[in-house]
Amino acid sequence: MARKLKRSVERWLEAERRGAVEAAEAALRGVFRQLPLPAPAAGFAARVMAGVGLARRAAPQPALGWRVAIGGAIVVAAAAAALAPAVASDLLARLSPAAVVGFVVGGLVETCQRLAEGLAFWQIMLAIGRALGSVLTSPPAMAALATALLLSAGGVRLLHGLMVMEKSR
Amino acid sequence: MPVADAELVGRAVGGDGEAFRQLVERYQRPVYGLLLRMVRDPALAEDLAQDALIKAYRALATFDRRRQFSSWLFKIAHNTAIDHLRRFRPPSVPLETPDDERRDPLAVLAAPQHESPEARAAGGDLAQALEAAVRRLRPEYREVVLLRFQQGFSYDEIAEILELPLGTVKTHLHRARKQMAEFLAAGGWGPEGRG
Repeated sequence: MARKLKRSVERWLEAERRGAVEAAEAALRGVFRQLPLPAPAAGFAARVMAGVGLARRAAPQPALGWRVAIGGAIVVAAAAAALAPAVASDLLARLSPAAVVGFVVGGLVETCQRLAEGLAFWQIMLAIGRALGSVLTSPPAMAALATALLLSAGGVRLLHGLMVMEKSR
Repeated sequence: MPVADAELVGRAVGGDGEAFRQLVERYQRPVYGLLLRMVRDPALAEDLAQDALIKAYRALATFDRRRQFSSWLFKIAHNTAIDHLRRFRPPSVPLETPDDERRDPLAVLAAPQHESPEARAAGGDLAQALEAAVRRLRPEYREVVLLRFQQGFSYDEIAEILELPLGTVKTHLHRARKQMAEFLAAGGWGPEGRG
């Protein structure tokens, strides 16, 4: 760096001695390029922007409603965090072996009761089914059913014949 | 690919603050660098650079986009520095003050006697010697040298920035180069000098 600067200065001084204006100017420009250009202190541009009223704005604040909601959520979270130890200890107290066994037994009894209620319902339905079956399997009832079946089949056949005749007109 | 100055100016005039920020970031260093070498006080140079950029923003709507933005901005920076130094120039100037410093307000702050002992002690370095040579120039020469060789402006642009006739700019530059060469040679820098 220092050697390069010295060579540039020598070129410039040599050009000055020769009276070569253009060469001297070019060499002196090269000399100045190697001199450090000082910089203003950090934040200079920001100060200028503030001076012209164009300071970069801070991040936009949320609307009032959002701020209230966020504040409420923080309060609730804080309250929950404060109550958490008490609730946890209460839960642990309730989770004694006796309480667990009582809960399991209660659940089993409840399930059995529901099954028993269902069983009674199906027993009633079974009795109704048996009564209907005994009536329908008697010979007169069977004959009446067969007659009704034949009549309905004859009616369907007649209806089909009439529809075919109507279409062919 | 960087966006052209004219486009950024157009967007900034249209209310795009980000476009103006890009212009500030692009020119903060050259403007500050020029002003620092003019006034040799970092805090003052920063204040002046800030003032210049704020003035530029306020006048942005009047900027003719066919012209070069950098020349326009440097003209504002130059005028800001001159205005400030005229306004805050000390009321009395000692009799032993050189004529140059009495003529030009810039010289009051840029005179070599304000140089720190550390800067004087570091004078053996070539870069320091060059900086010292620039400082020793008459203020009007110093500014044309910085605009020409540090900022790369053409003669015409320098004439426009400093509101000087083109011939005067050329004369100043020629004399400034000669003086700088003499200062360096006197300091022992050159082909036959130190190395």
